[in-house]
Amino acid sequence: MLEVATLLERCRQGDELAWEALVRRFQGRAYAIACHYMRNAEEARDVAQEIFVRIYERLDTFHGEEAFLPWMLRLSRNACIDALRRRKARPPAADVVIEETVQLPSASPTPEEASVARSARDLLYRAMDKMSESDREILMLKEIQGLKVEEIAALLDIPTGTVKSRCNRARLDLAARVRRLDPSYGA
Amino acid sequence: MNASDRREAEEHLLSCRDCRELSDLSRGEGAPAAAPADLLGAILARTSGPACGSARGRLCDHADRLLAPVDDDLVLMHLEGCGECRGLASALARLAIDLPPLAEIEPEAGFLAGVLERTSRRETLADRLAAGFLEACRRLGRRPRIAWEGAYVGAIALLILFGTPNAPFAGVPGRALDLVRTAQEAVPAVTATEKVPAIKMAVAERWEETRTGVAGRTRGVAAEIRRIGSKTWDPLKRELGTMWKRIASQKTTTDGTNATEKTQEGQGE
Repeated sequence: MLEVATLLERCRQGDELAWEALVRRFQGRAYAIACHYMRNAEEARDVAQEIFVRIYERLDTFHGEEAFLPWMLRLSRNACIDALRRRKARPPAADVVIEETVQLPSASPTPEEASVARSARDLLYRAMDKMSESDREILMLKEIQGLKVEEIAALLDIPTGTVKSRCNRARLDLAARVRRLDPSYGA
Repeated sequence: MNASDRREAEEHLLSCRDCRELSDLSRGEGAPAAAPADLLGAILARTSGPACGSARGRLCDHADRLLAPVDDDLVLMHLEGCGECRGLASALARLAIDLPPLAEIEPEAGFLAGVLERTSRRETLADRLAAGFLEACRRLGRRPRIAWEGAYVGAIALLILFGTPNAPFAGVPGRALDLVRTAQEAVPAVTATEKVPAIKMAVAERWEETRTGVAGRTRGVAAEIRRIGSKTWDPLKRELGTMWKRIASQKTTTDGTNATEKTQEGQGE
């Protein structure tokens, strides 16, 4: 598999195959981030496309002094926030529930395992749905997308200590909510 | 202890069980009494308070194996005796496995093609202007009272351009009408009749040229407007359809009930 740095360099040179490969590699992430913020599958698809348009327009501004994923997450977050601001002026006609439409890439070989994975995912979404936006965001950035504490601190412009304490609080909150929904979770 | 005191004590011990047990304990004999189950909770309640808050403050680091050995042991000892915190610790461990797979969600088919469509082609100035125009139309269309506002602005514009005495195009409609009448009078009827087909053909050709050019540029705008319109109206139409069916089915039920009641009344008579 080609390294991201190589793909980016080729994209900057105008290689359309490299751009397609880059989109293919990160489309799942962009869509997951958009789903997390928009909580509506149709809008998430539009926002995810917008994320890649912004990446395409700003390729020349990425110089590699930071990793690509935090940079992409910053663009994604800004695109989602812009979309949420636009949506505030006009609420959506109908919400399409995320759990009913998204397809998770499942490595489970059997239908039973796939069903268990899907029900665990639905449980997590239901629990996260009730959390505050800031807790949900920090959980998404750290525990789901795997950013480091320093990267999150730079992205959200808050101290690293605040990131750690908010993340721990969010994890405990999520664990408690999941156990309220399913007392056998983790047993 | 002197001999008489000892004799007195031994006589007392023969008759007092409690003192006998205390004496055995002090000598290390007999089974130690088991502490009551709630003794720890009662002691903590009277001293530092429950330790769950302190344990939960370290649970995340314990799950991530970031605690110093001493802190880790303290947490483990607390978890042995606290079911609630033990459940939380298990849930945290399970979340560490279940959350990372949510990082990627496969979008539906056509997503990649949509992105490439929007990014790979070289944009001309006309494309950028069209995209900007579309975005502006989208933003306008999202305003809740756009129809009213558009009609209001249009009426004001017409008034300003044509309606007032000092308007820049004041009298233009009247003058245009006069021009048409003058042309009708100046051109003989026979000549006008002969020239009409040629004029019609020229106008039709020019119109076709313009139409094709405009259609090409506005195809994208029309598709976008149709998409936005469909997004707005389709749910509304479905909602109205559902309401209508509900009303219709209620009416049917009411008619059926009324018919049944009339029949029963008829039979009662």
